[in-house]
Amino acid sequence: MSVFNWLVTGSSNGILLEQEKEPALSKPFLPFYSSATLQSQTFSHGFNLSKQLTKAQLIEIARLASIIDERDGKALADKLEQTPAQKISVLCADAIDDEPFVSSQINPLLHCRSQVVQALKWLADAFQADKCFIAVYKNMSALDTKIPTSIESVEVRRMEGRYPMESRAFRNYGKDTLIIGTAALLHLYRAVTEGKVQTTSFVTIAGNCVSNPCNLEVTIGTPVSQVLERCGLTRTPSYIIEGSAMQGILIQDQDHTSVQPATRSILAFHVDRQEQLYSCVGCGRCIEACPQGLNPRKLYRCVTTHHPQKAVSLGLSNCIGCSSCSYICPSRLDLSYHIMLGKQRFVSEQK
Amino acid sequence: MNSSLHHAPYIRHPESSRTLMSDVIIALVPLYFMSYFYYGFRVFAVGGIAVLSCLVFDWLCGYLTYRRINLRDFSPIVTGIIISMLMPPTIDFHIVFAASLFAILVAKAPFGGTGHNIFNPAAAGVAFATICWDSKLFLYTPTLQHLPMQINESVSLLQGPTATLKLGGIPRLGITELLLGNFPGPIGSTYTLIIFACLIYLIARHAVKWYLPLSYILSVSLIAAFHHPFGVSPLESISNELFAGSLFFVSVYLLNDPVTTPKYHISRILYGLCAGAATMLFRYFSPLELSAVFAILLMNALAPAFDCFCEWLMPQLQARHTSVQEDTTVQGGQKS
Repeated sequence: MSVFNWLVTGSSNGILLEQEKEPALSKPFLPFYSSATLQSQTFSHGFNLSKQLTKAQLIEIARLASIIDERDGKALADKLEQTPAQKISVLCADAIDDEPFVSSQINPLLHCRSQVVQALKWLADAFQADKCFIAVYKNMSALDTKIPTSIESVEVRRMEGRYPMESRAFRNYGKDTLIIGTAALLHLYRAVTEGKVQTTSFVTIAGNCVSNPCNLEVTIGTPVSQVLERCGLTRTPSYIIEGSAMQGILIQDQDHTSVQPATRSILAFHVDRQEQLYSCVGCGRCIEACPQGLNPRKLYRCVTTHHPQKAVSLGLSNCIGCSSCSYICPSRLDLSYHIMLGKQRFVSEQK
Repeated sequence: MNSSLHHAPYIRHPESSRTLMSDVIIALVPLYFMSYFYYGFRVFAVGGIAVLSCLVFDWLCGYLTYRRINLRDFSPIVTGIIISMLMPPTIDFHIVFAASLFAILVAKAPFGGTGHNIFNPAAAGVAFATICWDSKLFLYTPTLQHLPMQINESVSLLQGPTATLKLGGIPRLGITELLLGNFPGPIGSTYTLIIFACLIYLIARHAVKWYLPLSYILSVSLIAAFHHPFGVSPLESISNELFAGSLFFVSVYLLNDPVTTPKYHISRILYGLCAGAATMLFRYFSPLELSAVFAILLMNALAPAFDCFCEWLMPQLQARHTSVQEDTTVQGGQKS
């Protein structure tokens, strides 16, 4: 970053997070199937695997297997269909787990390397991609497992940067880029070779009161309480989160919440005491943390005092809800929560 | 499960406002020990009165405004310590008390307490004491003696090097004296070496942004280098202007108060440069010896204006930068 950029943006591109992936990442993922997976019917697509699979064949297989991409929760078949007609320049397998504790994308990649890469190669051939690579997050220190630089001649590219990386990593690759999560690639491989329908999703179970943090391959529809029971809890958790610790959703009723295809992690935290709130001291750390170069402090004040026009003029609609500002705030203000509330309210009002 | 209280993110940075303030306290306390070495036990009494009165008045104001008293809010302690650091060691206790009273009751509480004050409370308190007790606030005493609690005729009072600076001269102190603060001066604001060590600690803990004191000192030393009496080398002029008074202390502890500084990089740098220039102008033209504190108070009032200016300036610079980049790419395309 040049001195000029440093001067005019006021932000230092996100925050550094302790990754804490380790106990879960180095262990291979464990199956945790219910009868829905074990008794699921296989299908036969009837395509000749010795020949190169075409685009239409892959889309049909993805539709038959009802694969859902865990990156964005969209159906893989739809995603493949919506790609630009002719050819794509970059095909990327996304294994960027930039959030703490979560390793549900990189773990299947490391432990089923050849399958994931095979599926990636099929897609690259079918879509005539110029380049294809696997993206992993670089800022992961203190790992027992080594991340290779290439898997079967496919490059593993390390994405360097501070926390909200996954949403920013692919900004520089134009529109003709296809990004697919590694778990979806693994499901695609299974669908092509064994005719399996996707009935499972890869979930990281971690948190400070989980006794055995690990990655599980869980049947979709399993209640969260059963999944937590499988890993064991050392204490009663104060809260259970579906999704990452930074952006996840709180689970209110763990018996009636089930694992979804796009579920990437279930985290259980125990907090001894609720941290007391202070008033803003104006330290300016949120401005430095914001990856979008906004002023969260001023936005927060505009939203809480209800000044929609001022908030929108400050760039409210550019907020991506990464929660970096709330994380870094020494006064423990719920900046991100209120800004996102304001965004929903004000931006829809404007339209 | 008290779950409805929680929103994302569910993990927080371990640093809080409390650690932010306690870092500043940690960086202030070593100055007391040096001061004890020079002036004896009286400095602790002065510090204790300032801190206690600040704390008590802050709680009182919280009580009167129906606010919950937050025992983890350490900012009145910082205010009290800074007030006592800027006082001479022979100061009467009631002046310290009055300065603390003014700092909390006038400069802090009416604006809404911690985080809402426009002016730095410690600077306001010291400025108030300076204006009211002008004659007493600039009488210092030689170092390396044990002061009695009650100041009587046996204690020799004399003017410090800041008086020379105010008259437009240069005190010509040696480098060792300047670094160790071994000359008549305020309780805790002349020990350059210790303040520098504390500055490094504060920068490492992200409590102070390095560019703010740097820009302040840069503009002060530029003016000092060009405007100095005949026969004094510019380097000597710079070192004496910076370290003979409380200027360096102010640049570390008062200038970096998070509440009253601008928030953007570029506005902080401009703020530091302007504060340095204002300090030197106050030093040359004001009738009081304490110039840095008044300059800080003036700049505090302008801090939001700096932010507004930079909010207007930054998009302009960015647009210009991108248009320049586009120009160069277009030209490169034509060449090939």
